[in-house]
Amino acid sequence: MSFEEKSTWITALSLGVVNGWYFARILAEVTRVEADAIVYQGSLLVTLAISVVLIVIGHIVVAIANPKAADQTDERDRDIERRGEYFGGYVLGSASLLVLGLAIVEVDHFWIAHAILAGLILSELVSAVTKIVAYRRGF
Amino acid sequence: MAKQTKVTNAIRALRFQADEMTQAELAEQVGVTRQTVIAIEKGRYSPSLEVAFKIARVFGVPLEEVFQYPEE
Repeated sequence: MSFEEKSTWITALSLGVVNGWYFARILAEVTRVEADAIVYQGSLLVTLAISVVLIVIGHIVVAIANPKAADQTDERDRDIERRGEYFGGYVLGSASLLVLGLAIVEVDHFWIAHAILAGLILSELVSAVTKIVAYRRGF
Repeated sequence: MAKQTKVTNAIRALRFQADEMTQAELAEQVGVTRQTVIAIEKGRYSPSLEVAFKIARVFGVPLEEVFQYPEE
């Protein structure tokens, strides 16, 4: 695997696992308590911080394992990155429209915050899956 | 299912003829990653024109000896 492909896996797995766990917990919470009564801010920020830390550590480990290959990108990496961003962008755009709708009807900020977060995470995951398929199968 | 490129190539054969050049060695001379050379050989990636020319230059042969495109 090229460094960039490994980077994609690290990002996808870190975001997927950490945020998947967070959403599972928060959705369980919402079935028991009213959304506007949930104090989610701390957990959400900690979740994001953990995601970032895992991603950074993952990249450091991969870079140390093969220093020469680290940060090597070529035209194929750039083409695949562009392709990933393209599809991820669709998801982000759709999520943004959804959030706009939520804001217009003035739902509790709990839902708006989580809709935005879900949009961001999903768009990163879609981007990563697109890239991994392009790396493995070609495009 | 990803669409495969119609471009085929003779890079593997050319490498073996060139003193059994490795994919890594070719990659370094052309300025791409080893994984990209692998992807090109397997028809999973169509390189840019510039990279295609660089590969041909490494082997010292014309472009169409490296890359082939089927007649319609």
